Amino acid sequence: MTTKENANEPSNLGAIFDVPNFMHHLGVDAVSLEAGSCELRLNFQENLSVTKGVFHTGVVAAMFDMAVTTAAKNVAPDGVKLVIAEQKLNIFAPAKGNQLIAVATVVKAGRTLTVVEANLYVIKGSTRTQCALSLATLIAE
Amino acid sequence: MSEFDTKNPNFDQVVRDSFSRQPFMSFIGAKIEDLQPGSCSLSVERRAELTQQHGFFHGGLVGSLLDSAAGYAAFSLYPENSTVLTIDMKVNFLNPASGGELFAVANVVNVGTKIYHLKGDVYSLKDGKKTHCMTGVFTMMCLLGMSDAPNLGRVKEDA
Repeated sequence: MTTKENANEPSNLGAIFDVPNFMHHLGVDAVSLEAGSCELRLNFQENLSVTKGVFHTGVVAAMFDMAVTTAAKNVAPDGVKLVIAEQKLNIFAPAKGNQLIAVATVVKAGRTLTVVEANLYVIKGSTRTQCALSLATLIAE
Repeated sequence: MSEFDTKNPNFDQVVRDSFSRQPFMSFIGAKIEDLQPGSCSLSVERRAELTQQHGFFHGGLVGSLLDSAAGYAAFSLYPENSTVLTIDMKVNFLNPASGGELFAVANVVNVGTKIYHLKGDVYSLKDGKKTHCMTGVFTMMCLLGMSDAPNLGRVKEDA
């Protein structure tokens, strides 16, 4: 397992984090990447919020999208391109805090379809609270 | 396993009583395998009437069993004089539900004031081997002050 302690350091967890993509635009950082699982985090920024101190739900959805895709791609054979076919979010509480943590785990990696579950936590001070969960299907193109 | 406290010390009796009053669960031969605050597992044995054209358990049945498990996992935490309704469910079929028996396990993930979020999984058992057939997420509503029996007062039995 690769672990990175400092969220502000540029990620070195693989090429997918090194390109100037939407993840970099938001400031999403990879904490760990293992076979079939992935953890991402994002520090709070005023420009990602809609209400004071609360991450916009679109950001929550983007975190889920990035986490499930990254976890699934990590178990896909070389050369196989995976895209999201559907994804459901269940949101229990506003994502209010200093940091968002998305943890995605592959439930089943099939030849055509990959099912991934993900949990989203918000860090406020020293407490970590789950604020949402998601279940997604990715299809090999 | 669920780590939630129930608001009903009588939850075991209340849930089992409600389950026994579900004609559909009785019709398919479903049984409660385990019941804890915030967690419920159900089983059903294979019968030809429950299968589809390939001989697998019908997908709708697999989803129904998991829906009931999730409903009762939520209901086990509810206060007395309340009832449960599914307001949302989403499932992913992972493998064909072949085999002689199905097990559905559901756990509460989050307790709200009216809305409870749950996760659940269904496994089939064939020659002692467990296969993961379904995973799903559920949203259950807690209807306070409404009796669990019978039929929420909406349908007259002899109508």
